Amino acid sequence: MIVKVSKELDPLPYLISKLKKSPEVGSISIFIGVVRGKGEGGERVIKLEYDHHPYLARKVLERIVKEAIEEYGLIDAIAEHRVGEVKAGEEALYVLVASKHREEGFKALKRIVEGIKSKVPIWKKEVTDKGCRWVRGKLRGGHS
Amino acid sequence: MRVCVRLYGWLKDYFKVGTLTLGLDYGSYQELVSKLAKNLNDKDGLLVEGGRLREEEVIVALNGEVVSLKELNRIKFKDGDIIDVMPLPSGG
Repeated sequence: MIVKVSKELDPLPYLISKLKKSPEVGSISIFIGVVRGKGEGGERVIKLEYDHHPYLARKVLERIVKEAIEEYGLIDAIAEHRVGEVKAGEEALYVLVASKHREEGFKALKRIVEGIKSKVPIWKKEVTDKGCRWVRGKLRGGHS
Repeated sequence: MRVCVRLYGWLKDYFKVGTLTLGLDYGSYQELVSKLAKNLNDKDGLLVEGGRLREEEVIVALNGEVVSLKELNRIKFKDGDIIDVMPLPSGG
């Protein structure tokens, strides 16, 4: 398992090679979060600025991935989230899950991504050609 | 006693402060919230409403552990405690 919250993501081929090590792997599902270049009001997004709680972000991310591995019987999983400035068009989040079969991989991938969005203490500010605004999170169940 | 309160995300921007030190006499949640609202000059009630932190807006961690607002009601803060007041996550 790899979890990382930092300014840079590891290269995808490297992460995939890490997951392919077990002979049991029959499926690798990947989610790539990309910074949209267009805001909800049609404005041009220049970049996102991510703030985070360094200790808790990593800890909560680790717990989410660990729980998904156990619940879906995954062979392994990786989640990496960028923080700091991320320009439009760039990749901000990688989640990769390795499983025997695709079904549990798809479900686990969704679970991890949703968990990251609702539970990991990371916050983004959208910087556009018309100004900037913090994206407000929504109350979606427990945070502990 | 003195505790350290740290703000994150939009809270830090809105109140223009990231870290503040509060002196508490009793160490209760009510005292913390009252002093926080006063120190931050939260006149619009964005963080504190009716003597409580707005549950629909923030999560709180005490010394690196997330605690529910219900649990906070029962906690007696100690000298040197670090209290993180964080907006709801919006990463991804």
